[in-house]
Amino acid sequence: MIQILFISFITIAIAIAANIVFGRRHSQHVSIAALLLVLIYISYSISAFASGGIALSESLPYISSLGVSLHFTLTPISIMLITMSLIVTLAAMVWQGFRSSNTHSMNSLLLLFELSAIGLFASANLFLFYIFWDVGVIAVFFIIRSFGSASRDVASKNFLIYSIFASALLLFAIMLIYFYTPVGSFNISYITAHSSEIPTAIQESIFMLMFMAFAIKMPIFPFHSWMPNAYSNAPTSGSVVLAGVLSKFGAYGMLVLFYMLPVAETLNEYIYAIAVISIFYAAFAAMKQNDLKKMAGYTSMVESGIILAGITALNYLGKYGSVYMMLAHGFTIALMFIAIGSIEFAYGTRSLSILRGAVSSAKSASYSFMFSIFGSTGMPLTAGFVAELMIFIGTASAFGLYGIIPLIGVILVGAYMYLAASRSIMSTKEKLQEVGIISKPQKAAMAIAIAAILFFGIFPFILLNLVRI
Amino acid sequence: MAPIEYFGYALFALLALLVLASVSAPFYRRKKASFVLGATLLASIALTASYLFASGSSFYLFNIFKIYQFSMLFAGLFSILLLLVMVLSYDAPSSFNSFFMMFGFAAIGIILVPMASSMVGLLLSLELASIPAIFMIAINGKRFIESSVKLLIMSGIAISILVFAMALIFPYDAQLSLVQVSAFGLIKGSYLVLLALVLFIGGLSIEAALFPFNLWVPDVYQGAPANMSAMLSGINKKIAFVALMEIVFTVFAAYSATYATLFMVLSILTMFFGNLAAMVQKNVKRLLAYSSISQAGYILVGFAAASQYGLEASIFQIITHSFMIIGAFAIIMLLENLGIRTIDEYRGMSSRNGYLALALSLLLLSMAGVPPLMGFTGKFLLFTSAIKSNLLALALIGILNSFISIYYYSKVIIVMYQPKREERLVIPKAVIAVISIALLVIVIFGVYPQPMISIAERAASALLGV
Amino acid sequence: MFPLIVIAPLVLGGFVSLFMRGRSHAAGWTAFAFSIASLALASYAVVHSFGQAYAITWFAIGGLTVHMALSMYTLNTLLLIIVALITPFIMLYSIGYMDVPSERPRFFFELSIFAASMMLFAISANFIAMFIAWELLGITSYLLIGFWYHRERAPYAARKSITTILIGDIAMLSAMVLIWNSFHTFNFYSIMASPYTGAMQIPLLLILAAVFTKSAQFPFHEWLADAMEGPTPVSAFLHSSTMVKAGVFLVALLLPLFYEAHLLYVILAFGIATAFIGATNAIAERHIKKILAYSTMEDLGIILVALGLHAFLAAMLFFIVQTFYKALLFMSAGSIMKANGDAENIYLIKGSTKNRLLFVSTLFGVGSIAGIFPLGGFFGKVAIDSAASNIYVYALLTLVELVSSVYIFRWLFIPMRNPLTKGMDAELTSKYGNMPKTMVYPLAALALLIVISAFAYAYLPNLPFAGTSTNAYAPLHISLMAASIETIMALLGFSVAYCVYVKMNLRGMSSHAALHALVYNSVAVNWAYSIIAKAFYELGGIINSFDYALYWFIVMGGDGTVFIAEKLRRIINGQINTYAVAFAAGIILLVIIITL
Repeated sequence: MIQILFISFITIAIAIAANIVFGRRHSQHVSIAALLLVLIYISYSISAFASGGIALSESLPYISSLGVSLHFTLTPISIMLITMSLIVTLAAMVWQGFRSSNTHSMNSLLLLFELSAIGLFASANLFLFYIFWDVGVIAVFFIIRSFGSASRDVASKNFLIYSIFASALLLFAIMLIYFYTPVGSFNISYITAHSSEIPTAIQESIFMLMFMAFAIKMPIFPFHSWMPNAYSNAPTSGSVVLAGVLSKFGAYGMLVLFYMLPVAETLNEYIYAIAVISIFYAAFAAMKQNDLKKMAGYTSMVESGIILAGITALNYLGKYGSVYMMLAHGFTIALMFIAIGSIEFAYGTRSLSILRGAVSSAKSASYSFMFSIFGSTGMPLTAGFVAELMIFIGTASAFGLYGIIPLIGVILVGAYMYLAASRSIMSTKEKLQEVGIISKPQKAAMAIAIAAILFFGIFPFILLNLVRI
Repeated sequence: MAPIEYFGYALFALLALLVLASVSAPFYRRKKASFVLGATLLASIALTASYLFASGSSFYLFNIFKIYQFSMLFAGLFSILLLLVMVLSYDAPSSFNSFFMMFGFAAIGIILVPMASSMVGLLLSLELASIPAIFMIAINGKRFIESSVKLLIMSGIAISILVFAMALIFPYDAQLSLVQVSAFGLIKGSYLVLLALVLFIGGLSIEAALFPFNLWVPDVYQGAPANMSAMLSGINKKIAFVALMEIVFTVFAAYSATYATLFMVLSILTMFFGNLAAMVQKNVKRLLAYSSISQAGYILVGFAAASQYGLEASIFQIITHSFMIIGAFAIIMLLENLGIRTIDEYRGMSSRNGYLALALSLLLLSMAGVPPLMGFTGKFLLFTSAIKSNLLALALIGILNSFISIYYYSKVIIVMYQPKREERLVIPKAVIAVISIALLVIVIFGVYPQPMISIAERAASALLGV
Repeated sequence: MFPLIVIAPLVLGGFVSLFMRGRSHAAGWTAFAFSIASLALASYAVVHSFGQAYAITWFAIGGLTVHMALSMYTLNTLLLIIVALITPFIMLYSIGYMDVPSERPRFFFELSIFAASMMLFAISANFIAMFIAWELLGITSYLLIGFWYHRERAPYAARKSITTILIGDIAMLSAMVLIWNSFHTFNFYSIMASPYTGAMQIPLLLILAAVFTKSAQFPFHEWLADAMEGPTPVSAFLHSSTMVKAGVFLVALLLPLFYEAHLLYVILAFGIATAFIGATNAIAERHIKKILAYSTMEDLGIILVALGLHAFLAAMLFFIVQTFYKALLFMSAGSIMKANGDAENIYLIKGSTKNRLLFVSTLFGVGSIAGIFPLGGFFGKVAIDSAASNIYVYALLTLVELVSSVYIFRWLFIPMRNPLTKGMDAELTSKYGNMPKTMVYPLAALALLIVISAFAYAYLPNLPFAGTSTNAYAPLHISLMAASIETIMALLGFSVAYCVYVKMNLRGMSSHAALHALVYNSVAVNWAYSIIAKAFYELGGIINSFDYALYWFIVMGGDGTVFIAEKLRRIINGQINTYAVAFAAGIILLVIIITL
């Protein structure tokens, strides 16, 4: 029995230590190698998932007086999300290249973030979930803080305050759960089994607290005010992991919440309404954005709304559809931010009112941007299509015709993104002077993201078969 | 003679040595005096640690000192903290080594507070602990006189109130002992006793920095040299909490409902006061003073829970906060000597000295309660204890406060990571050592808190006599 | 999954030509060679596996089993052969047309993928395979329409098309979702075989919406005219056999469902409306390719009318013949434009008769569209007219045919008649004379095909349309009456066009502004589009301001807290007596608490 997760933690921890000790000299090689190694472990776990060559549950004693152990489980969902987070972080890391003077601090933070992502997606109890949640938040905070663009002060402060507020709500909810379960426990499966013994009123408050915490992170209207600033002022690698992986912390938490408390079955219709409102709100808010990154941020909010809609369906397809959507959206938004970052690198601006004819000399970035638009409108053969198909079959069977309303939001946001693309990428009326040439690592990062979108779009059965086993 | 008694005599001998070292400090040079003091404190740490690891049985030494898990934990903790403060204070101005003389006396008092077995003993050791601090601030120069006078007055009020409270309780407990059974049953149902409870809490609240008894704290912390601020907030404040635990949870055990309410109100007021006032501070030292007030509020959450679990959480948080605040004040002291005081002046700290910025960030994040640092575990234990005692509102307010606190902690962190090119900062080795020790404790017991939790658990059960 | 090999050569060819940057001239020939291979394979596949159906599981999860299904039924093979047949012509034509070496690899790549998508569409047997092809068509057409991205109008045209197509894609996805939930299958034939339920109505309407966007039907038709910004071979391809045909083909495929759901009248109504809009706009348009684009709209409208009349075979006949004449006409337009230095306005284009072969081939196309016996167009149109049992429908169709005859002869005559100056004459002669061979010979071949396609009238009724119940359809026949009326209309159109544009040499209709606005209603439609877009955009503005307000509200909440904190800070004034008072107050507070 190979304990994949513990080995992964150790690998990443060693890479972080190496980054700190050796500085920037071999930082890029070491960090990428570590992520690739973990990716290999996870690929192995996918192939060995059925045969039982790996430990599906890994546990070490931790805080015995609270009944908390270092308990991780490898479920199909956690494998999907870990795979996604690894590839997205890899792309973010590759993108920034070798030249920057503080590569090692960026890489350490990215690795720390990846560590927290693996821990969070695999944690079997809420205590660990909370700890990894906060570690991820702090890592991203420092990424924005140290490497962000002009108005990163406000952005990182907003981000941190919102995040910690979410953490506070989450913490309180976790404590309530701990106290109200028959034998104080943080274990998710135990809580799920005994959640009906929690009084309904308490369940409702727990639900509301956790919902708010996760909605802030996803983000869902009206808890999204931190998002435009944080996404636009983070460095490109930061935006990539922020929108690609960190927002999935919230989405994954939401999934856990909905399948943990039985009260979700009475509240899901209201939450679905919130999701729909959020989708339309974000789709309309995207229209007036001048900053490509902010536009991408609102786009990702639309997709977050769709993920939430899938979760509220409370059926099998809705559940796994939203997980697959988390995966698909992770890659798509990563590609979008990488492409925008590269365009900005090439032209020195990402303002829609200035940028013209990017395709004339930043070809790779422009085509990547177009591809990310295709991906986010759910083109078949991209992972997004599989996810949307599953989600909307789920929501339509739960809510009938109302279940397909969110698709109108996809039209709106798609239409707007095509408008933005035709203005900034295609039209060459007033061509801009380029200030930089897109480097090989940047192209490699785009290639990684595109390959991932296509791979999981064409071969969805690789991950979805895990569920059937 | 049982081995445990040898242990007692050894401890006693150590205290005697401490007295000797303090008295003789003016006759030696700084290096020698501090060496002797340091060695004594190290020996004390070793002794208490051996007791804790061997989990020895409790007994009375000369009927004055009670040696049990609770007292040994705090004796050991305070010895470590004293050692850290001593390292920080090595360069403090002192003619004839008077600083070390005072420091030695204070050390005796501090170590004796958790060991005291009667109220008189407790009062005396509190005196011994707090009076030297007044002089230790004053000897730094004229501009520190104001702080020391404020401290003198407030200590005076505290002591007189405590004495008055003891007088009130004397008719009910002539022995003035801190033993649970002697008080139980005898002192029940009288308003005088309740008044005594109030006065005990009020008196000790002055040192423990609870609102509204704590208004002197920011002035004194800011006005005193940073090493003394570290001592006041890291040690002197904690002995007040220890004394509060010893008195309230043993003598007044029958009044748990009453004191739980009192502590709850005090806790809520203190948390809000500390956090809100800290939000608008510009001076980092003063900001930390307010922050340490709010931390006192958190510690009280465990008191308000009035259960063994709550006590355990409070003990854990006391340990946590003393390391955090001493580490932070060590950094403040260093920067203050270079004229760096306000938040604005902290700009660009990360480029001037990355380690310093990282250390301060981690310490502040720990104070804010971010996992996986020790501050988070402490708060987690505290708030769960509140929920366990059905104080949902208190837990919620506590969590809300720790959310507010992120505002001002992050302000400092954000500023430190702003770019500004200036010459590098060189940190003295002694300060690096103190910061590193504090940081190690915070990180190690944050990532793996179990040993510290079980120590706190044993101490709590020993105090409650369970 | 054997039929999938028909798309393999095209996909392969596309990628090969994409990477032929250094030898871009060879890229075209490579793509052409692969398209020939594709045609050969398609023919082989039709022979080899006619009437077969294939399915493999793509992925399966929790009751949702998604197959990739292909079939080689008559309808599939029909479209497959048409696409496979047209593709080499287009490729060949493009070799001459695409004279910018640096863009060649990209062009042939996108074109190959476009063709491959349409072939996949042709042989798909379930919604999944169909939808993959459907979306790939949309996206490749987007890239092709925006191919000349540096031109002023191309990005706009490309965006307009993809936005419209996106609406259709999402409608289709919604329909698929609803269909799965009612039938638990995506397979066309299983759905048609299962008993009809009322739940089908909404999905079918959504499919119709998707079809209308793809096939440029009212109210989603305007993108097609703007799509002329793409390179001409693309237009020739897009308007003849691919993309726009996908929509009507889907309706033909699912016709039994529409019939059972009583939705034929919807198809009929929108078809008539679009045919009318297309015909009228074509008569007022001056852009040489846009006239043909509006004509395509009209053609598609007529096919839908036929389907709406439940005249399946007539629709398929017209479907076939329209492919060839429209491809030919577009190629002809492209060649003429090329000789005139990319002039687009028919009043500025000159010397269309200079190249005899080109002109004669064009005449076949014009004759076919006008409905001259015995060209393919005649049989197609008359078959539909004959099926029109309703007198009003018949009248409208006849009117549309008259108008189409007028505008196509206008299209022919005006460039012929434009006066030539002396110097220009020689220049044009050399330009027409030195035109690449690949831009002329394919036209001649297509002209031949127009004649041959007329035989489809005889051959079509004999085909086994498996999976669809042929006997329910109106049979394919031509009434003498309809034939004669059609011929009269064609001749009438010819004479009108001759009188007005040759004899009177009318340059436009500017004197009749109201009539012009009514006929040339594309302006009004575009205005309506922009109003809708603007409304959305304004709403976006409102929501964006709200978003700011929300942000500032939260910031103000923070400021409020700071304000309270500031007040609180004032308590600490450095005066020790204040602290002593506070101490006393604290004790009193505690006492009050215990007495409560």
